[in-house]
Amino acid sequence: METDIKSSNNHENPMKKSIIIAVFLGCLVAHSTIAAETFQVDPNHSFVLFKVSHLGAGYVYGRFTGGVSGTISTDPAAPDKSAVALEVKTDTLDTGLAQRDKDIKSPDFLNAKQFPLITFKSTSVQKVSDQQYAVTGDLTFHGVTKPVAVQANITGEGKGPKGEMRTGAEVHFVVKRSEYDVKYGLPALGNDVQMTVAVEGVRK
Amino acid sequence: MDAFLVSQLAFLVAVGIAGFAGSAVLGRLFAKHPERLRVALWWLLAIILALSCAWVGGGWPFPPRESQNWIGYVLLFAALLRSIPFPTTQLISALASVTFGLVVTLLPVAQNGWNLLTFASWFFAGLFSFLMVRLVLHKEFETASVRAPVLLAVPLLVTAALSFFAGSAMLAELAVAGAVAVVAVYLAVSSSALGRGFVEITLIFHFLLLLNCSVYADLPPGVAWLQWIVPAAVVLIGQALHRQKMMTRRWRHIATMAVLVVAECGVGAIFYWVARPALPF
Repeated sequence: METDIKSSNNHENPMKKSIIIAVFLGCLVAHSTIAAETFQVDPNHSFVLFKVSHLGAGYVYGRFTGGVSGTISTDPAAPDKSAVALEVKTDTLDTGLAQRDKDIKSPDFLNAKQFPLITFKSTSVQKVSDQQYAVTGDLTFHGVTKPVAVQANITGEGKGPKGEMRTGAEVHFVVKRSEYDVKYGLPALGNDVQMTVAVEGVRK
Repeated sequence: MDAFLVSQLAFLVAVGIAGFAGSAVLGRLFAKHPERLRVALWWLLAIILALSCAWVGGGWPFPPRESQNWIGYVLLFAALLRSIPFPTTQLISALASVTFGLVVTLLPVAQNGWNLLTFASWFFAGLFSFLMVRLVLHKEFETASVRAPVLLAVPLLVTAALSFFAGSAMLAELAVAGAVAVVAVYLAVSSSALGRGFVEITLIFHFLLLLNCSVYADLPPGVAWLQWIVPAAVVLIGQALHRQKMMTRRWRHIATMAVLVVAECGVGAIFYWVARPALPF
């Protein structure tokens, strides 16, 4: 009888273990599903700003007004599975002077009618610290795609008026426009375009 | 800024020297072969304009990515077709060249949201406009005259001003280079040696500049069309007056050039009224 009980206990133990492991794994999966978050970029609170040298004397400043969209997926449990996809409408360029905007949107520079979008799609995201991520991805600008590496700084978190969770991030980097076949006006109009991308994402 | 302006001026001077010296050398080489000289001069003009496009655009991308990158290729294609020594191929070569030019210019913007009807409207209106102007100007170039380069160069210079204020300094620079090249070649070689192929290459160049500027920059299409038909309209008016014995042939030629200048000023005024341009810098 004892032997039977023992054998029965021995038989149950692996099953119990399996159930416990399965429940634990299930919890982990559930936890990671909850932890993974997707943020929708808010065009009204996201900015793409740039400055470029003008005649070696000063800078022309500009921005893409309301033309930023995209999604940011983050996974605190596995930051390397995070992803960023952004789009900027070239036609929304604004330097504060309509005639200059026409000039920059023309075939001389952006060729906005042929290339209506500037896109960025991440290929790798590495967590540097709680506030910093190293993001590498493909930047497509003027029909040319090149890899870029940027340091993204988390600017903060907060709740919106509808209770929605918002997170902000900011990136500074330099684009050499000649590498994207935008060569007109060099060197009088600088080759280095200093970019600032500041996005606010709304958690879905 | 000085370096930039100097480089632009040096480019235009280089275009002028290449046109003049190249034509002079070819004129001597083929002095006894007028037909070969014509073909060589068409090629010279096409190559100078194609190289101008490459210089202004900052390279010679292959395959071309932007519509204006195609201009050089279309001109070389037109020179190639015109070099085929069969009279019946003239219209076919014109049709083929301008069809090629229209497709490669319109296709990039069509891929970004034009429907078939819009594409077809631009395509057939462009093709029809080109062929009408070509027909009129070809006849005008049957005899040697100083009005030939004037009819080609003055509109190109006005197109340069329109392109600049429509937002594309690059296309403006190309238009000036085209005017310089045409005048330089005419100065070196008498116009009767140039033939109709020369007109065709210049017209295709001018046509593609206007098309690019109206599709991709902000030149109003109506103004671009007016600018395109002005030389032909001026010639037709001159012919009508001549037929009614209102003026002699000599006076007709002088009047044609004077009216051309006035008409081009009129197009400039219409553009100013429609677009209200301002200096971008």
